[in-house]
Amino acid sequence: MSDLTFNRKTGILIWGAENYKSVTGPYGEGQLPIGDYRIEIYKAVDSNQLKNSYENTLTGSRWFIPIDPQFSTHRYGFGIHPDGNKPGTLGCIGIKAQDASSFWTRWRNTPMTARPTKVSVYD
Amino acid sequence: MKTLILLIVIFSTIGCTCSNNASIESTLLQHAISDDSEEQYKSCIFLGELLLTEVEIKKINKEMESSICKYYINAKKTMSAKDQSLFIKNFPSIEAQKAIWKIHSDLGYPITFLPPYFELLISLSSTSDLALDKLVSTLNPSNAALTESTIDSLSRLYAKDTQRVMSSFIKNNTSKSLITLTIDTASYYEGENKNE
Repeated sequence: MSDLTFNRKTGILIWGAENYKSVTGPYGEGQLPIGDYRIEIYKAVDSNQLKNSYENTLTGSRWFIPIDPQFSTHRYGFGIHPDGNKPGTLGCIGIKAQDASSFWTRWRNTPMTARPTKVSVYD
Repeated sequence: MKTLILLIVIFSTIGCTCSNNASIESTLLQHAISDDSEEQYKSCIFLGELLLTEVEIKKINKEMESSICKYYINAKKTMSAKDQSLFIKNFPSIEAQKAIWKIHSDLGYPITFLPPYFELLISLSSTSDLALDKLVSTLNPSNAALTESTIDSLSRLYAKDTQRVMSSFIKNNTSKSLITLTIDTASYYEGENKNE
């Protein structure tokens, strides 16, 4: 199992040997804070009932993987999802449409016990 | 997913009901009246969707302490202007929303689905200025998922009724960042509508 890392400056989410172009912020309180987050693998949602903010505009699929900061912060409600509608998020990691599909396919094809349980965010 | 959540609540409630032979409604009412905030929250969600008798509504009003749960059930069941107004006026502050959000996520409800109190406020805000002002004044960007989902709904309203939403933003001193996000998202939907 390999965990995820996210570079806020380059906007690259790394899972093992693969890179996924992503964005965080700039809306609301901006980028998600630096630190480690637990990935709530059992709380991931894949549903067309989700809001457009979580839609992959190329495929129409909508999904959201909650992540929980493992440090003290007043901010919460973060997740990893496709960067739907207008570009940018309120602090979540929004994967660009062209990469969101391959990320989600890989996620779904990875057994639960082998899915990443941590994402480290840095500059 | 909402249906799934509802079914889980129904089945877990039926499990309780079989043991004491009480009706689903009365079991839920007992839970809603209880001091356990998680039990109250779960029961509220379900009671808001159930057909309740006048007697049951009276029981809620007589035995339940004043809470957002009580105002929510009344607003959903009676659909009267008075009850909707009470619900809007008593909608939780940003600080109080944290507790609701914690219960919502701790119970395992997907955080991308808004707690039903918020869904009702959003629904009322399409026609009520009071509800719109409450929705706008309690936007909390510290909660990324909740604000993202709320702005998504708000931007649709903005696309239809720009002046009304902008007036509420100005009145409630909304941050420039959230206004920009609403306008940007609304323009995205306008483009989408033109393409349809």
